[in-house]
Amino acid sequence: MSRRTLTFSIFRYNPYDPEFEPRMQEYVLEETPRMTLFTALTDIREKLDPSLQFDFVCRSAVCGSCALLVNGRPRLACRTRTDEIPRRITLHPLPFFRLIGDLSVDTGSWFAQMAGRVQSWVHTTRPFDPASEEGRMSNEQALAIYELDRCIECGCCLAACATAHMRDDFLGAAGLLRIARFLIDPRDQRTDGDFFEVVGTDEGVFGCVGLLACHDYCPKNLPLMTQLAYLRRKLALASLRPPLRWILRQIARRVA
Amino acid sequence: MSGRRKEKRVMRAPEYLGQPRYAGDDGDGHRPVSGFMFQGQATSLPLPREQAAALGRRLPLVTWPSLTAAMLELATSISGLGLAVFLFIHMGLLSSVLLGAQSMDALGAFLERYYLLHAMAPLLILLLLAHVLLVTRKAPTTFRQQWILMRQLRRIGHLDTWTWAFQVVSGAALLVFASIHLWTALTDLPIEAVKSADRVSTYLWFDIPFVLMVVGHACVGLYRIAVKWGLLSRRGAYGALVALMAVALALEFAIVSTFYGLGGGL
Amino acid sequence: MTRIMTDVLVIGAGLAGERVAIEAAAHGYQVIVLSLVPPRRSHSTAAQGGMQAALGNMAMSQGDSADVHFEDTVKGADWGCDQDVARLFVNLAPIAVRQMAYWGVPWNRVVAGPRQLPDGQMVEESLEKEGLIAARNFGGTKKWRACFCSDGTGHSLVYTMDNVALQLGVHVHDRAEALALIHDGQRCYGAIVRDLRSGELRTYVARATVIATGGHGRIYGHSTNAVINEGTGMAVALDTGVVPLGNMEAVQFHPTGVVPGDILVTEGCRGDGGYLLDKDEHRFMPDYEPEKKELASRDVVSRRMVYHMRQGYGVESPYGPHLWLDIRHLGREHIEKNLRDVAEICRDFLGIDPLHQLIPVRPTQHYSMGGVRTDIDGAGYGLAGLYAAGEAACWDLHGFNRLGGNSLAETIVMGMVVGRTIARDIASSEFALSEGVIRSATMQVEERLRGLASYGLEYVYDLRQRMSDILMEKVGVFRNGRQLTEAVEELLELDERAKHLGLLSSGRGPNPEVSAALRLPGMIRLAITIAYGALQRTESRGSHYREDYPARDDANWLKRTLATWPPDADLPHLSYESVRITELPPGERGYGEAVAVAGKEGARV
Repeated sequence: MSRRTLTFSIFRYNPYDPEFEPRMQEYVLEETPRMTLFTALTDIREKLDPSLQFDFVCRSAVCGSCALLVNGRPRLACRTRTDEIPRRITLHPLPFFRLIGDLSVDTGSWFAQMAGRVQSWVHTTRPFDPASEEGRMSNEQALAIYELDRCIECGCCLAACATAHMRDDFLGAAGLLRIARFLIDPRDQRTDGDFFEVVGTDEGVFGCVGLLACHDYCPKNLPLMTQLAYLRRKLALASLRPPLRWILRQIARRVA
Repeated sequence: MSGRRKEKRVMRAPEYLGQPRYAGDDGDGHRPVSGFMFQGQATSLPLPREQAAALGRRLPLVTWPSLTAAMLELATSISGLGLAVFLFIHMGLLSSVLLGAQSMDALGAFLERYYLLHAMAPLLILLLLAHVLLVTRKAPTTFRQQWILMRQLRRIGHLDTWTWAFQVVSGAALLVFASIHLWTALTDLPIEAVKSADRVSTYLWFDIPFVLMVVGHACVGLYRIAVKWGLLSRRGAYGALVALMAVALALEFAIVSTFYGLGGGL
Repeated sequence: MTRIMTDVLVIGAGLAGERVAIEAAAHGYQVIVLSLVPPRRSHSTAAQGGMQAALGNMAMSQGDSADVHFEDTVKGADWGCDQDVARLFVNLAPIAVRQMAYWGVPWNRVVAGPRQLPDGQMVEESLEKEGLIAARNFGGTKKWRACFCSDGTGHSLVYTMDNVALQLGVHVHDRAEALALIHDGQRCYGAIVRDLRSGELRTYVARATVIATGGHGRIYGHSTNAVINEGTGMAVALDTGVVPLGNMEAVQFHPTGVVPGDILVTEGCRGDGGYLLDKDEHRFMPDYEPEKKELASRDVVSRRMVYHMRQGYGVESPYGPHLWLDIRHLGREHIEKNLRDVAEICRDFLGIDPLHQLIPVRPTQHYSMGGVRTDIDGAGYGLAGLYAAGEAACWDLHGFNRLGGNSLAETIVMGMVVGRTIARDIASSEFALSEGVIRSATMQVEERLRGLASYGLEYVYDLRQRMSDILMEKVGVFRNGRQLTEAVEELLELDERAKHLGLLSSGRGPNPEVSAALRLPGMIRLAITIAYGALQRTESRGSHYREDYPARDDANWLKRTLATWPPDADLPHLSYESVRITELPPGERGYGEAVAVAGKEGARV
């Protein structure tokens, strides 16, 4: 394998340093076999510039810390091998989220408020009985819930979504997927109406205009398009029920 | 009601039940399970909901603001669908000119005789206006939003986001084009091939972009309805979009060139 | 300086930390959780495999009970664990699993009907158990006991736990790092914390302080741990001079970290029937372990692998020798469904297709059985009001080797126990705080920051690299007196050099160089504690394997190392306490170890 020399152009800004203007800074690095952006950025920090801020935790694409714009596309940096991308690499922090410094953004706060807004927990009146065996569930159902539970909150869907950028209060694909996850969970006793209250609005599923960038850039390949469509259908149909019921009642009254 | 609902969003830790600690270091290895807060968790739904269940669910389960959002969303898609259906019927009727000017004139006369056009035109205009109003709710209307959209398009260059931007721009332009087209067509009844041919050959610079935009807008719109509501798979919707666009453009091209030929022949 | 008062301060928002927080919050106390990263990014999410609990729902787990689980745990620990703790743990584990199910974890469920296991055996899952929580096979266990969610068990547990924490109103202050505990030598009053968003210092005053910061894996060069697992919690505890760390020499290596990158591929691969192959693609484990084969406990498999590589059967690569993991025969459906994350790791990080290619693996640092020593209730030794939970603690469930799947279970079970203890203690204890204690803790931290800014010629990443190399080379899977002595000496030299750390960058704001420089001295001291403890322990037990003392020595070493580092001392002070044995007397582990490495091992005690 021929060794390449990689040129990184990285967005730099330290809001706590008055002498630090936002700028793009270049770093040159020798490529090594199977190098990822994790190895590359760590090398840059340890050998070239110890002040460079970026976030990695698991470096194996399960924690969602390291989403960046790599040449303009939202991606997980740890899972981007340098041999997949051109020699010149431009790195920007994820848009949409508050910038902490350089490539580091505050995804945690956004996702925490989202979880609060969608009341991201199982609502039930059934008490937990430590002495009895667990409630049963079919394996298919468990797998279906797990499938929707796989979101790692990396924020790529929001960074890619023009609607989220235009409307600050939009829940985004991540928030809507979270609702879908509880909607199909038989342990959650919330009714369609309860869910409707949370996401049947223009900040929720009806704020989505179907750009599908979330679907296309999700690093976990979550079925976002299918789930958003499912929520939209379900809630739109639910909205027809009360007026229809009202009309039927009026008719019944006339007839009677 | 709304007061109670708000209460539900407040997260509260349950009261301290003060259970005894488990038996001390008794050494037999089998310790009783106690002292944990298994009960009294805030997992319970608030009381109003339970009472509602007991009272036979008399509480309205859905509030009006969200109901409107849902129905407006449905209406947006339905109005778009209606306009697209109209466009294709319109195209089908027009294609009668391919069989000759007489067949189109006969069709025009038929529509005229039963006042179908007079009945349809106001409905169509209403549908058009409704569609415009409905889509404006989601379109980037402020400068800030437009600037953000432009920045995002430049930065990420995502195809579906581009097609949406196309919908916004072509939609705005079509509002002007369609009004002119409706005005000229409806003030010059009955519909006859010669008149149309005349218009096309004189105002070709108007008709070509109009046709391209209207076909593009309708086909992309149908594609977006399909993926938004999950009616087709992504791949299927793409395929359908390309196929539909190709057929519609070919047909429109044939119609326009026929008119142009007819107009030139005069 | 901002001061924040709370009932309970939990340092670390992984599964253990959040479970403590939930239990304390459910008892009605105000809880603040500090975390280096948003809680859902904790290293707990990376636990793919499973959570051990004796539910006995599967055909292959019939007859399982807390007693069998207890026996597996104690044997796995090589009798180094506290048997009271193990008993408490195995009794609570099923409840913990069911409670997580109640809170929303989508555990895989039992599907009734016959099916064929990868080794060809036919089993029939009973209709009676259909829909109950399923389990998979894991190394070192008699029965199938690891409850799992496909391959994202840790992920689902963390997300569910954080949901419940949110619901109960637990406040999480993320991007905050505890630099020092506030204490007066008797009692702990909270912590001095650096905000990693702004670089500012804050004081947290709490009636109960919990260390739940996870492992110290990153002090080793090759570790499966997340990059945030730098042992910060253990280091601040050691720094007090009065809180002992237990069994720090007990460091587990995972047999299957991929090369390069050291990303862990789950035990599930071997549990589901994967093979280990050498350079001739020969399946060598049955030669060493005819009965358990690839499923012997982790320390045994790791050692067999290193031994086999030392015999010249390793595959050469630019990253050093490694072996192969073969899951090709499990089939597309199984791999894509149950081992999807493994398949993703291979494709995305290695460019390998596990359906058709072999996966390069080697033993890699994985887990620290040692940590802040606590009693059975989770209260730390040395300071009142200090508690510890999870991997950061030495509750002493794992002894000298942890079973796969017992770590997830421990985080949650111990979290419950610690939360309960805190609720009990807060209710019954007085709390009086003196300003002087806070001032001296603050001054100590500010002094360190000033030191970094003013003098120093040593560069943090150079020292770090040196420390990792020493540990990897001399305090790894095989240890001996000569190398350990060298390691201690070299690490002490590094400890001296670390006093002269300087900065290359401006150090302003949330500067990562400052964070690394603040952590490094503590990391080096942990490294010394490990090496020194290993040097003193002249026996082999579990994952601690001395080439010069290859036998377990129950007569002299059935005891736990306690290491404190008194102020101004040159070396950690080691003391020992005996291991509590109530039910199961020391015996054979049953991993075929008596024949042991190259058969040169002496008679077992």
